[in-house]
Amino acid sequence: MSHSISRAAPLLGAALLAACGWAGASSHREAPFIATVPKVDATDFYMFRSYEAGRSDYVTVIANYQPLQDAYGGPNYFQMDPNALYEIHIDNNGDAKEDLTFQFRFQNKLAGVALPIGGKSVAIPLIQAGQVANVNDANLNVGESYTVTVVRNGRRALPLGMVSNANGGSTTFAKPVDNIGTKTIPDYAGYAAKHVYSVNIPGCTTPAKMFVGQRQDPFAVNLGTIFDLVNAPLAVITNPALIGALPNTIGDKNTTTLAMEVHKSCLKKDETGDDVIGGWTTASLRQARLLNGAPPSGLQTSEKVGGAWVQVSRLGMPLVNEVVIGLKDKDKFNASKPGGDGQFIDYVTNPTLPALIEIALAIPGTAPTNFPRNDLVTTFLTGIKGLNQPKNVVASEMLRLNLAIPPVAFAQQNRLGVVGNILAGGSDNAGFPNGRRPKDDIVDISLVAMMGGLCVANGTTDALGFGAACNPSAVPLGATAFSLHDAVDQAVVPLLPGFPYLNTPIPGAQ
Amino acid sequence: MSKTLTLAVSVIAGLMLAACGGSNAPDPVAAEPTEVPASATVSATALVGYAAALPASETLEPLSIEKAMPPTSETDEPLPV
Repeated sequence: MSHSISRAAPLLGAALLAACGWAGASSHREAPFIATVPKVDATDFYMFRSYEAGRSDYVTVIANYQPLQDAYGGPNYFQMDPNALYEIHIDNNGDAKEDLTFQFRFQNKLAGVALPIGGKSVAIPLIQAGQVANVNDANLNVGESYTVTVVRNGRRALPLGMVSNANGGSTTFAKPVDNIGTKTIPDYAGYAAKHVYSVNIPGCTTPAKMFVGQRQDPFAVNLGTIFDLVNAPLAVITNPALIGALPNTIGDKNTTTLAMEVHKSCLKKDETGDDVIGGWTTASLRQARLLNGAPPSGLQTSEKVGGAWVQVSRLGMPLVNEVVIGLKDKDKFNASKPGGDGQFIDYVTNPTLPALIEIALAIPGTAPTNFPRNDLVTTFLTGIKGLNQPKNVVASEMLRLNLAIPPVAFAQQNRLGVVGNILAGGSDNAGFPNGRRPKDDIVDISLVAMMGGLCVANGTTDALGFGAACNPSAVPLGATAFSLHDAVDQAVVPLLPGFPYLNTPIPGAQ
Repeated sequence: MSKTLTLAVSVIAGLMLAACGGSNAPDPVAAEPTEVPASATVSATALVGYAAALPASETLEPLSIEKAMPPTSETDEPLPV
């Protein structure tokens, strides 16, 4: 821990709780337009120093798409959209512009499996014709693959090159079919593991790892209850003994993961560059689409697309567009770039969520009163000084990670990230909001933060630099704010011990 | 002929002229397009302009896009619509 963090630690933990509260959680179907195009709906974004043994010098970046997948959703399941562009962006100099972009493009190819029926060869209606165990398995009727283009200095600049397989040099990678069920794919974990590639990235001397495929949704939340005006007794969601009292409402859902594990030196601007990087994911569709009233035989032949890419999904820090941005601006946010985040500043300086919590829980007069909420602006849009603030930061929303802070083994990770660690007097500064790990309980952190914990921590001496108005007198709940939770424990979600970290997807049948 | 009747006859005559087109020859009726015109896909600008100008219809059949080859760009920013 750096000296600056050490000095601020006792208060910073609480401060972070508050600061991140309004930003905490996930992004499933959060905006009106994106709810109509689930294949390009980003649900979660993670970025952390790898905590798998022997991989501590690498950074794992995960972008999840296609929310709330029911494992039995056949016969087509959840292929990625070949007419979409999925991107992961890295800003490594704090200027709110991407310096490195990984562009994922998908191809879904119909194998044309047919059976002889009464003397005729007739196409089958399913995506598999038997058991599946291998890459590009002959029993698959649809072959899913993807390429990854690397672009530097602006996502629409000319590409630097393609990510290639370290074994053989191919630039096309097979994607595993979704987990149809245990009869079709008896060993899905082993099958999926065959799709973890060692890859070479242009401009990077150290090979990386890459995986794209279905995973169990790693996000844990009491989703229905929260959106139903926080339909739970106040006594339950403020009792620390009940952090895991309820089941994870999306614990039976899958998602589709784009995951890369890249050496940290490949993400920095250069050897002497800033240790703090920012990351976010976007998805785009072509600006024009013509629908075919008479589609020919084939796969996804009902449309032809053209024009430039139009960004329709954006996700960096969790839950921003879900519970911070006003409904009328959610589509606008999804189309926006970090450099233009000034247009959304009112949602940060004057957030509505604390007032909504007052209404939902019938606890009037409990929202923090320090307006503008500079505590949230500072923490969320610039990163925390001494923790994850770039040296030359331009205020903007993205997930920021300090590459100089070492990872912490899973068992020692604090479920409340940096905040929880500081409150516990530990040594884990590798969690949210310094990046985000799968174990970090974003919802609980968010609830606490929303109700003003940051200003409680800032004290009467402006210890954390959030401004004199941000002090305990502006937080009617006082220390009670730190007891809020959603009664679902993120820390018990099943995960893998190493890359790609997210668990094997739930099978459609077993 | 009273003034009222004169006015009514004039109006009816005008309506009859309008209804008959002023002659016995039928008006030429432009045929509805059945496919996306080639001009719509000569550029991304043309495609977006064409798509933006398509009127919503409750009665028309979809246009054929069999021959359409929409242009794409990896570097352009979206056009305003």
